[in-house]
Amino acid sequence: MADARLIQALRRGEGLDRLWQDWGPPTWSICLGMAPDRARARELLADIARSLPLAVPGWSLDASICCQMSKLVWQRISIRLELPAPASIEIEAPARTATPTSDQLRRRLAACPPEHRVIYLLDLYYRCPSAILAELSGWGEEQVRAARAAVAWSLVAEEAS
Amino acid sequence: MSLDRQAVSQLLPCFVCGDLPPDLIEQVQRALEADPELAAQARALREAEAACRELLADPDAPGRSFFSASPLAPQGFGRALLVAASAVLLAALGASLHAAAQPPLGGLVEVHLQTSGSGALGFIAQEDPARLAASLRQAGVPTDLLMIADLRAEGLRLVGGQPAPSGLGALILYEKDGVHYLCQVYRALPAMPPRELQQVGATTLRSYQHGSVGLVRFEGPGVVCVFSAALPAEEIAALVARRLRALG
Repeated sequence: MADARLIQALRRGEGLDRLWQDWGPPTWSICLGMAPDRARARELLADIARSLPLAVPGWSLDASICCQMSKLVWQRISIRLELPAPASIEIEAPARTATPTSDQLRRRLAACPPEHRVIYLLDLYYRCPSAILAELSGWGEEQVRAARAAVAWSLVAEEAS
Repeated sequence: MSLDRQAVSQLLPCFVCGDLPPDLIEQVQRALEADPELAAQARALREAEAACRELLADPDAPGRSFFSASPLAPQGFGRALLVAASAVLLAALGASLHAAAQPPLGGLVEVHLQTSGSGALGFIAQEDPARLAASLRQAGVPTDLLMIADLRAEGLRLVGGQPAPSGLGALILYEKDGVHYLCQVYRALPAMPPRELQQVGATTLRSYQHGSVGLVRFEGPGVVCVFSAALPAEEIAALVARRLRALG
C-alpha cells in the first residue's frame, strides 16, 4: 500500500527524493559490484538516476517498488555494460564450501559473468522474487534462479590448495 | 515426499535468499537440522551474502545532490515531500517478501521524528515500565516486543510509548536533558549497510546517521532494536554499548 502511494506521488512528479533516499544506497552498491572501478560505477548510477524520472510515471501500482527498481536497474546496467542475453547455465554445488575472505570475495565476484552477477546483486539488495524478476525481465524463472545460484556457489566454493 | 540430499543442496541458494515456497522451506529446514554439512553450506552462503554487503557498502554513496544534478531530473524533484512514515515503515516491515526488501532507514527516522515530537497520535505517557507494558499490551503490542529497558543508570527517564505505526512493533520513548531517545522494537528489519560496526560481546551494533538523527541497530533473540536520538550515532552507540556491558 505504501508502495502504491509512493508510486502515485511519483506519477505526479513528486516523491523522487524519497525514492532515492531509500533506493539510492543499495543501487550504488549494485553499481559498485558491477563496474570495474568507482568512476564507471558513478556513470552507471548517473544513468539509472537519469532514467528514473522517465520510468516512474509508467510504474504499475500493482507491483512493488523493489521489483520495478530491479527491472529498471537491470535494464540500464544491461544496456550500459552490453550484457549478453540469457543462455543455459550449468550449476553444480561445490564439494566443499567456506565463507570467503574479502579478497576472495572481491576476486570471485569479479570473475562471475556480469549477466549472472547482476542477478545475484539485484537479489541481494532488492530481494525481488525470481518469478517476478523473470516476468519483468523476459528471462525464464529457472534462468534467474540458476544465474543467482551459480554466483552464490562460486562465492563460497573452497579453492583447491 | 521428502527431498534427497542433492535436491536440498541445489535449493540452498534460493532457500538462503528466501525465494522458496513454504512447503519447500520446511523440508530444507528439516534437512539442515539433520545434516551438519548441508547446514554448513547454508551458513557459508548466508555469510557470503553478508560479506558481499559489507564489501559493497559505501558510506560515501552519492546522495540526493547527485541525483538532482542529473540533467533529466524533473522540476518537482527539489520538493521534499515525505510520504507518511507509518506507511513506509509498514511496507518495510510487512510480511511479504517485497515489502521486507525496502530499506527502512528513512522510515525509521521519520518514526523517530514523529514520536519524539509532542502529542504523537496514540502515544501513551507513562513513566512506570510495568504500567506502560500493560497499556501497550492492551493496545495490541505482542508481549515479546515489550522490551522496556531501565536506562536510569544512563540518566534516561522513561516518558512513554506506543505501538509502531505498522502495528508490528513497539516504540519506547526516553528523555535526558531535553533530548528524546526512541527505542523501536520490531521482529525483523531488512538489512541496511551501516556506517559503523561495533561488537559488544555477542551483539553487533550497527550505526547510521541520517541528518541530525543518529541510529543504532542491534539484535536480540527474535527482535531487532533501533535506538535513535538527535545526536551523533557514535554517542548513541557508546550509550548502548555501556548498557549492554552492564547487563553482562
